[in-house]
Amino acid sequence: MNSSTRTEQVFLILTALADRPRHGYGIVQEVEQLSQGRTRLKVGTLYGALDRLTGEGLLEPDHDEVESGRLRRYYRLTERGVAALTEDAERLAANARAATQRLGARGSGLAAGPQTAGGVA
Amino acid sequence: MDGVGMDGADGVDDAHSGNGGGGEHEAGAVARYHRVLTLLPRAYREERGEEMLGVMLDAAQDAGRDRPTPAELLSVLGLSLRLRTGAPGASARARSVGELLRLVTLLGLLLQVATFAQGLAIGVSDATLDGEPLPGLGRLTSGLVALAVCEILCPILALAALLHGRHRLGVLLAANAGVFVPAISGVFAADSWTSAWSGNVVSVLALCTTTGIAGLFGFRRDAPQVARPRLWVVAMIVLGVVFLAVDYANDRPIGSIWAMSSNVFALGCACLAVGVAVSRARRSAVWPVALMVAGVPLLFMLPITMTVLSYSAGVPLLSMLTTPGSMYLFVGLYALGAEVLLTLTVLAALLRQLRSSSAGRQGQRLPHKQ
Repeated sequence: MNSSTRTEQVFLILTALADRPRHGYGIVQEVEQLSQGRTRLKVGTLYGALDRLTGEGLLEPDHDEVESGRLRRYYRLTERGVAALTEDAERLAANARAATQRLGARGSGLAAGPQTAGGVA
Repeated sequence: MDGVGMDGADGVDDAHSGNGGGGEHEAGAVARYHRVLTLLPRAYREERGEEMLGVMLDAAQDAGRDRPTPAELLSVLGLSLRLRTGAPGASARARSVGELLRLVTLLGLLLQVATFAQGLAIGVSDATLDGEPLPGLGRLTSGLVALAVCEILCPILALAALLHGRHRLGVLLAANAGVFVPAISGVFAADSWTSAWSGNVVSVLALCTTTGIAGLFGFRRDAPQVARPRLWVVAMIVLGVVFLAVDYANDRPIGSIWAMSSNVFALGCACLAVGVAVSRARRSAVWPVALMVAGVPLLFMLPITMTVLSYSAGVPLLSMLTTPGSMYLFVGLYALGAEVLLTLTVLAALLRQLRSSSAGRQGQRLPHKQ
């Protein structure tokens, strides 16, 4: 999977692991927070993505803990994962900058142009 | 990485008692979520079941739920289907299933092209019955040709999409050809002799359905690239050109068996399929099984054509091979013969694999002689 084919869900999972290792539910919570509630990962989707990313060498298991009788397996980004996330972040930031510039120019153009239909005669 | 002891069945610890308090209530929730995880392959469940159960229970606790939601159930079902068809994390057997489904899809596309090429040839060749134009067909030829062109483009574009990694588009196109079949069949509905066409219609619809379903599960987003793509392209071009050229060039008094030279190529394709299956069966059962599954839709052609000719057209059994519509009988017979041979090849391959795996296990049990 290259940067152009990584989905937003995968990007958010990588981002959630950028600062420290997290367990599965921690990733779900962090992704929901990062996306401001837009993305709520279900367990099947989460583990399908974790398997894929682990297979690509972007993630790896970190350690296991047992909390309240529940197994929690922590995952962390590998060096390749950090590089992939950096590449994705730079690409998205460049796209966002381009869009912002175009929108800014569009707004300036409307302010300086002639009055459109509907103006006062 | 520290391991945690797995005490329960399938690697899931039954002692999810939480922090005490409401133990029976939580035990019920654990049991319900545990049942959801039984959808997953056993090996994956043993490896991941414990942590997945923890994630679901954490989510349920935060949401104040004690049972899985439909969305959770569907997500686990989706993961199960992907794992059973070779997704990352799947077993070797599941990867073979994925390869099988992809082969069935690609072979189905080749069969579609061969079939639709014949249909296109009928549309452009002004087919005749004993030298006379078929009733009603001449007026509708241009419309029929347009539909036949759209029909044959579907598998061609589907193959191109699949080979370029556009899996969703490819699967959609692979199944979409079935839309044109009823439209084209409506052209022939008025003529009683062409009611034998109904066997072809059912067969092709089944073929499009089989191809679409196999592609849906085989060509997931993370499915591997098709090996030797040029070979598939060449095969499709050869099949399409041969069937189109033979049916177009053939000056067909349709009542004559020997004029149906496309039957010869259909027989050749059936023999080639069996030959490929036999040669590949020594290494793996995947190719023989894929050829067998891909050819199953063609089996509809023989019984339906015979039934229609017998009951609708009143054609005696012994006269069927010389009557209009006999082409479908021949194709059906070839398909039946090929399927029988393919089934025997598959059984032989599976038996060989069972023997080699049991011999391997016996070899491991025997002590080494010094």
